Amino acid sequence: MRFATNRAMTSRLYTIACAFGLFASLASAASLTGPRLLVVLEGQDEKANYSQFFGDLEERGYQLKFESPKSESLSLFTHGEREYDNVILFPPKSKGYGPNLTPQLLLQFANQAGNLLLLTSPSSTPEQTREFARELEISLPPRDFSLVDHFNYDTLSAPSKHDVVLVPRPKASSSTQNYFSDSDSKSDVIAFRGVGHTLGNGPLLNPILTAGRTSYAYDTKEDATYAEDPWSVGSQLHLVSALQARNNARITVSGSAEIFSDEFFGMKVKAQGSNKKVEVANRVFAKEVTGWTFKETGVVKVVGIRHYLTSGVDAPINPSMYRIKNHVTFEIELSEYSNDQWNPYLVPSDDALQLEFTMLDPYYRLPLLPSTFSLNSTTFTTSFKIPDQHGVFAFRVNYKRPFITNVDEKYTVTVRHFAHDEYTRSWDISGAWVWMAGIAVTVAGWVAFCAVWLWSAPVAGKSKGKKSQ
Amino acid sequence: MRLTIASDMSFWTFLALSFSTLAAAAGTWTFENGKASVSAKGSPSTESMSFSATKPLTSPLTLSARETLRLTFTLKDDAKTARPHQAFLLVSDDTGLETFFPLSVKGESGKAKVELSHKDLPAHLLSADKLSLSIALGSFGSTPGSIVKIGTVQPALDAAAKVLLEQQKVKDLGEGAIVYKAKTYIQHTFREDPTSPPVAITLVFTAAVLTSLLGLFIAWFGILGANLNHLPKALGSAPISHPLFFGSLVALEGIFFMYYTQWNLFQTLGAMGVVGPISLFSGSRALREVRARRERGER
Repeated sequence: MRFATNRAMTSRLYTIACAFGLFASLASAASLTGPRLLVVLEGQDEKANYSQFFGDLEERGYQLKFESPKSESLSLFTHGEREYDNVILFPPKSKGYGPNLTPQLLLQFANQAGNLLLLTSPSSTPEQTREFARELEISLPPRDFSLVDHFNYDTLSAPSKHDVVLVPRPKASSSTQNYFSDSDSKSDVIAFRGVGHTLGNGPLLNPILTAGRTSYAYDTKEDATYAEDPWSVGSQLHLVSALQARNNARITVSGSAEIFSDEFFGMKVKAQGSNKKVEVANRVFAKEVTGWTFKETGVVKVVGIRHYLTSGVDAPINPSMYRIKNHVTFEIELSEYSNDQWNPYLVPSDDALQLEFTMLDPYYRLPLLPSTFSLNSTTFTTSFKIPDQHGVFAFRVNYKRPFITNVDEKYTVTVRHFAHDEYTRSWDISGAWVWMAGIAVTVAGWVAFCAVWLWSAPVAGKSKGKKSQ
Repeated sequence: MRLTIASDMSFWTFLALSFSTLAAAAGTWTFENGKASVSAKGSPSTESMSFSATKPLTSPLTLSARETLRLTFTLKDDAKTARPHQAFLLVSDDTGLETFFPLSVKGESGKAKVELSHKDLPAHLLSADKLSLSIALGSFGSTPGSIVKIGTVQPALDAAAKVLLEQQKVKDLGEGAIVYKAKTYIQHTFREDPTSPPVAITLVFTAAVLTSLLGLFIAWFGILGANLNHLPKALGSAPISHPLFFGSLVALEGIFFMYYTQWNLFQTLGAMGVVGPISLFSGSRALREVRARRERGER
């Protein structure tokens, strides 16, 4: 059977290839999605302008492939599978991207769990990009709109144009994970030249970098002398924003490509009114943004789930059935991927990991608190008394938060009623004592009556009455 | 529109602000001849109030639905009148929510005006108790910009408008929009356990029931003269069947007791199967002896 042999051999080859591929990706990638990175960039000079940015990516194990936006050979997919794990799109110099980078294809790429970093610039953002961003509820300003801030600008590189805006690094928040406010960094200011965007109200969208109160985006062509009709102003303008799709694919939109260039990485800035030259944090910020987008940070996985009777010494783990009013303990073990290792997951101080015990509606929503830590994971635990309602319930942990992958676990259990021999016995109910005494009296009376019936002799004088009956 | 909170006003802004106030003498963008007036449509405007960069309006202005607040001033680059690139009226509430209105500036004369009425303000701001007004001036070049607070406005709303505003606020946030955050805790409320009456009352009635047995025995043995005088006679004529019959009757009660406390139905039936025939056969013998006594006229 030549055909069969052939097929067997192919499958063996495939297995080897797979194993090799797996090994290769384990060995090199800091990214959980994979190391294959497509960079869509026009021209060799542009590539030279971003050498540090690309060097940092290569150092972290990415296999960079450069393509021109109009390239015919470029394809995001091969045989329907993703050809790349991550894509960085630089703004094209020409009118737009080629037919292989249409918004539909980019969305399909994200639907197949590929990550995208979309860089825009005020002057050369094509309509395609705007259309793609609109699908994500991100609205990009029209062409030639630019961001200025007359209060926070770099007096060295933009003394009169004020378009190199100084933005403080994202502040650490106590309610979300902070992947963009590394405290180790020497500098806490980011130099930005580009334009912002505004965001819709969807929960999947989160701003990473927000413009200051005094900045605004205006039309550089029409409103050169006076900002009569600014596009947006202040903190409604976001400079870098992140979207994490329901399948955990990540798309980051930056209002500027330049902030990742060598020029901005090495920039020293002086704020208005300040006499000190300070370094910018663009390089660290670039690492954080690409790291998050390509899933080097903010990936949370469930290692294990256990639920059992609290009181039982040898209680079975994860039984399929509980009784109403049982005391139950629930445990979930979470691990977080951070750069290149799995660490114990920590919940931010103003956030809570919650367990719901639901049948149609939640009967309980309880905080899960960390109980034990291992090298790679944290175990979160809570105990509660099962409600007095029988039916099919579910333990549910629905933990969706900004910047981390979704945790949505649901385990159903049957909750049964008391069995006939599990109710409180009558002697434990004080109200029943009267009735129990009644039964005891009846029994004693009956036994005594039997004895009297069997062995009583008639009393003289009263026998007449008895006989007449 | 996504309204975000401007509370994280940057360190740099503070720096710039403090600098701009400190170095006011060195020349910043500023304004003079500030005048504010509130007028209803069609009626003459009320007396206008003056303010300046250093003297904001002291009393809050009240702005009702049909009125328009008109602000006019002359913008200056240090000492000479000019038009800056950025000249916005910023309207914010206590939480830091803020919106902007570009001033309309007449050329290089620096004459600027802006009008503000209810329909210009987004619902979230309009429903605030108090709105603060600031003027932000800034432009290209080296003259530092300035943000100056010029006063406060209290929007006056009637009840119907308030209801509409609440609806509009929900609409602005996106109806049914989800926010990914921790939700409120829920604790299950159990149905109340059945309760028993006070033990004292139970004990009184239990005692009453037990006393009734005593009463029964007194009636039988004390008044009606029941006795066990025939016991020796019965044992004499049927020595096995009498104890056996009576014993089996007691045993049956014992079986019921065991069923009540710990046995299941099958154990009970098994025991009944043993005790039942015994009581049947011993009973027939014992009762025959009782009949014999009756026939002899002894009972």
